[in-house]
Amino acid sequence: MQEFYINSLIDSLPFFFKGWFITLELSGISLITSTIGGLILGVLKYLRIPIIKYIVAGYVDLIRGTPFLVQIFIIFFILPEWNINLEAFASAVLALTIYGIAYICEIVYSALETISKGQVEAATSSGLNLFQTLRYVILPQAYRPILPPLVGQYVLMVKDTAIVSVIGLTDITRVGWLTVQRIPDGILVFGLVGIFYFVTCYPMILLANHLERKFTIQSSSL
Amino acid sequence: MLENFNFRIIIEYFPLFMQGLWGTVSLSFFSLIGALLIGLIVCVARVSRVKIFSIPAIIFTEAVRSTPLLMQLFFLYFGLPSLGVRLGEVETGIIALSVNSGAYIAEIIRAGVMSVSQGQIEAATSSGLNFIQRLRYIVMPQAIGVTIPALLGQMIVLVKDSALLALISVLEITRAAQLLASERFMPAEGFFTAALMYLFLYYILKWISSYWQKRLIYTQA
Amino acid sequence: MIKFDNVNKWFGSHHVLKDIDLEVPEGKVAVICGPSGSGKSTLIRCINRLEKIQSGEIFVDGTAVHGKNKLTELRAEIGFVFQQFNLYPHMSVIDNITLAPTKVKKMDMNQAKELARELLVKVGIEEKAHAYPVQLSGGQQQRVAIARGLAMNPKIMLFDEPTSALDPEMINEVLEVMVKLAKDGMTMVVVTHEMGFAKEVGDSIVFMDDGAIVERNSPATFFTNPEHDRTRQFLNKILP
Repeated sequence: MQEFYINSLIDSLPFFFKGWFITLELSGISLITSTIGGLILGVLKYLRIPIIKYIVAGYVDLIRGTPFLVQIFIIFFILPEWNINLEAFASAVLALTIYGIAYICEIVYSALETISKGQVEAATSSGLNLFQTLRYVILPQAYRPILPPLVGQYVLMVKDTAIVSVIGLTDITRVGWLTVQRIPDGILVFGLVGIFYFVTCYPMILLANHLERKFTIQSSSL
Repeated sequence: MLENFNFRIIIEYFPLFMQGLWGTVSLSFFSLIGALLIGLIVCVARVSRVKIFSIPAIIFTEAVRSTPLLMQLFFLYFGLPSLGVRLGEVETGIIALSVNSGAYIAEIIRAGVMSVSQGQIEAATSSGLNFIQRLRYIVMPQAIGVTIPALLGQMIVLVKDSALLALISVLEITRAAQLLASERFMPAEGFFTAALMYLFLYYILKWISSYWQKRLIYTQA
Repeated sequence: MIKFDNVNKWFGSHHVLKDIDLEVPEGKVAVICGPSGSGKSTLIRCINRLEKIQSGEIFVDGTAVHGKNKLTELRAEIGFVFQQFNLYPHMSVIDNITLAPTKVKKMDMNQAKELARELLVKVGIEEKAHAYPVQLSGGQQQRVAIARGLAMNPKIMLFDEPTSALDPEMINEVLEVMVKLAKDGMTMVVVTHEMGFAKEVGDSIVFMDDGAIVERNSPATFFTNPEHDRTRQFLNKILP
């Protein structure tokens, strides 16, 4: 029986690869959109513009305080009630982006906070405007504290794409779910799904660890 | 856009949501206990420097951290029966959450362990304390204190992660919302109520966490 | 009491202890000095096997330190005082002192507390028994650390730069305790640059440079008529 399962699993491999590509596509697009959004929001929060500050804080709490599963249900089931009709893929990207921005914004904000206010004062005293200060003084230093947790956040987001399988997107997790109906050996099927996630996420975890070591050693030797 | 929002249906389903809230709280609580146990064992195995313990511990942590909780949940839900183990949905769910959070908690405790200075450990070694004694009297009492905020953070994650158990029909907040959505076709009422309940739990945990951090600063000063 | 027999140690390719031969008889005090990086801390840390050696052997009381594993018993007989005190910050002074006696020697808690109080009197801070390390000055912390080492009733006390992390005005209170200990007949190995202390209680002074013992002499000869140029240069730098 086991052998039969393994053979039919091997026959289904193309199906698994298709699912994996959906996972990669989803992750890739939403990593880019949420990084851009997170950077903008993080900088806005850092600048302490009164009203925006509260809006950003409220948004971040809203997203961080609720499960991603609930967020995706809200986007998928409720937007159509308001006559916003999105396909499953677009809904998934939208949900992942809204979710990712909330976390990346905090990463960017706390990284910017580590740069001393004195430098901002020095830069503005020497006549740089706000944009120039950000561009030449703040952001070039901020990438060190930003990158390691950012890559860590990417790992979380790749894993969270699994949840979009509930709205019918045939990502690698849904492929597993569909396959297990046909090949009822959960260990085998989801073990294979696990391998796909592992080869995607583990290199990113190693990269995050490497960046963390690299940047903490450099900054402590200053 | 909320003009059609039906508050009466929420009142009608309120008892179900309360059951769901209780489900979320108790699932998270029991999973936290399980995760602490797993985390402690895995962490001790990892810092022991004995390869037959530390290598399985590393493989476990890395495997859990590199794969999604949902996949792990399905792995156990569909996989345990094929190993001949028959457990209810609730038990399977608690095991999945405990295993998943256990790997993260192991790392949290390890960071706490690493925060205890090497010099103290040498001092304890010099006075003849063995590995277990050093862990028990020197390292753990200090590690627990500094890890409380991170553990509370993990508790927030657990509460949110427990939502996934709705997908294997365990009654908790999200499941209650799903039931309302599918029985009465009112997803907005269901999922917004669910979101509010999660926010409520989130703010409680966040408040405890900031309270603890303030206390920690006072005691260190 | 302590005997180094042709000891060698490497950190990777770095040869940190070179053919060390050294004896410290019972009841004597050996003072080790030398420039930083000369291997003196490594040498003292090998005695209770905080560092492993690659060749040679160290004997304490006739037992080979790097041989078979009676390590816990051996360590219990050797008190160690660190440059950075290394008190346990989550425990009060008295708990710091009673931990090892009650857990390693299984001493009764009341008896251990009695012993701790006696030791605190000996190091002159009996009033701080229930304070926490952060509430103490550096000098007081180091005296607690000495009391903690003594609580195991050791045959040997090792001191690794015990006054280097202290503010100048606190050095003497720690040295006084150490002098008293030496005069009571404790076998001691002390890594220090406090040459006044070395003159007063040292039975032999060892000068190390670049991982090797350059010179070993009685204080009288060492300070007035050292054999080696390198010793003389070193003394010129550190003596006032």
